[in-house]
Amino acid sequence: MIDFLSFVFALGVGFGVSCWIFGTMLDKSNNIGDYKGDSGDYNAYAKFTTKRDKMDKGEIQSFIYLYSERMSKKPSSDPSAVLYKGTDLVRRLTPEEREQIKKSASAGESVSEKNGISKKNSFVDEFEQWEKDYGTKSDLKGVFRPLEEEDPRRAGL
Amino acid sequence: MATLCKNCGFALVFDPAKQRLVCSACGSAFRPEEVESEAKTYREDLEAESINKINGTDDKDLMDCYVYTCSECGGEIIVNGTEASTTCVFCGNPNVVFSRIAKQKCPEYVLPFKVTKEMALQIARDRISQGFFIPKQIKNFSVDCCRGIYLPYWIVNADFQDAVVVKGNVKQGKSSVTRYFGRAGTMKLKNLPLDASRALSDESSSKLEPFVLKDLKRFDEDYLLGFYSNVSDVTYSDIKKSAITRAEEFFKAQAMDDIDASSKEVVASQPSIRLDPDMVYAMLPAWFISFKYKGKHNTILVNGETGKVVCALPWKKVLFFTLLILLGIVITIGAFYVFRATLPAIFAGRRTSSSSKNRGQLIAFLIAGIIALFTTGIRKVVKVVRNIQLTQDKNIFNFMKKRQGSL
Repeated sequence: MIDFLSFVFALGVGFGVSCWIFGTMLDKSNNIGDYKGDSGDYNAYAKFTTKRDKMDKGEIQSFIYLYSERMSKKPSSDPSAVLYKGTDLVRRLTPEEREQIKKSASAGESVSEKNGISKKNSFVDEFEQWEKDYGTKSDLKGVFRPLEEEDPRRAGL
Repeated sequence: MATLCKNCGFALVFDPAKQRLVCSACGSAFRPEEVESEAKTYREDLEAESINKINGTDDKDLMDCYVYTCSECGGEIIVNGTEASTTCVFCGNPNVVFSRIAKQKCPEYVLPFKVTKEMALQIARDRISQGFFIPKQIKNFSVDCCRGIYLPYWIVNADFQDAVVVKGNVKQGKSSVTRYFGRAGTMKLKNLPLDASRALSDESSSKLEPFVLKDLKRFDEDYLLGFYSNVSDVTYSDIKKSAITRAEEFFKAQAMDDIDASSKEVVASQPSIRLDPDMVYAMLPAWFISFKYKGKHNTILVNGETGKVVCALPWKKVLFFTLLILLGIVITIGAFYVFRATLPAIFAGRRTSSSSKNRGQLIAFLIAGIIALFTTGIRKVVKVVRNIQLTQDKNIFNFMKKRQGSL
């Protein structure tokens, strides 16, 4: 019995290690330049505004709902919406269009606002709205507890 | 359409080594931005005729093909709707098909080739010769075609926002439990180059990166002389999709790094992006080198600025599997003696509940380790095979090959 178990484990370790070694060697030998650049190459650093650790499975959808921004589709809040449609071929802007974009940026809006990202007014508003829309119908009722408006996790949103 | 040498009237081409337009007849060299030529004005009004119109046909394959006349020899130059420069098949002169890149379609910047054709071939050969599992025929490949192509890119700025939920295992006492971690935040993308050519897959073009964008020069069509080039043919939706894919990769990687757990995996996310509509249109350089191996075309890409080589090449399967099996047998024999010596000691211990729990954990750890080794190894092989398919992709080959001329 011990011999059989030893053989099975040895076989797994032997071919497992061999597979790992030669898989790595093949990747280094034949797969050349398989690197697209990472966030460091483009100074694209994420600024986390909310961190939640050790959540339950039932909290996944609520987290996504509460903390993901939704882009406004109103043309009035997105200057680019009047410039082009999604199906248009990408083109360089005319000087007049550039001027238009500049004006909306200099009207005190941030780059995000200029580009039409809709910011939530407050967490409580968001929660109340969600509860109105889904709270009574959802089987997740009772999962959410309103947090304080000053919740540091919301800082920066 | 060709720019001529003001000293001898011969056609000029851009030399990446000298970063000048050079005349191969008299050896004169000029800076592209200094050259004033009638050809530049002439190109702006240049009109093309649809090949279907000329032939009086309605062939769908020819719908996007246009005919120009070479200003030097009068020969016909046939290009597809997205090409911006080519060579004349009759006189070999470089030609910029200017009406395709005039005015709004004209790029703002160009990153001139720094790597010459000879250098590109040498860099590719040097890199390939280092591959242990690359067949000898590939190491000594004979070039079927080598073309320098300016690829159109949109360089974008964008605001990105995402909320991700990551599943991971954390230790709780002696065992580990599955937990979910949420990370939400924003990210600013600055000067992210996105491939603007539909004919070339984003996966191939993104591997050519990074480009050193600080070396971009104001666009001058003379930089295109002697090279092929394409113009942008993507829509705003295409660009948005590409940008969101790249940004999502960056964000998820950073979210995963921020979480202290093992076996991490993103289980939910809700990304959104807003592109700055004022994008920069630039042409970035790449060498396409093709060769045939076992009846299949393989295309190696070389970044025309940095010399980065991109390809995945067929492997010596017999050598690979022979070595894998041999090493597997050797390690198995060694491990067999180790296990035969240690297992009896493990199993012969006192049969208390805590010792049998420890035994169980040890065996579970061993099995998990074996599975991890197998999956990591197999995943790497699968990745190589997938990338080989990309190198042998007909679309990349056709993108390079289906052009007039013999550069």
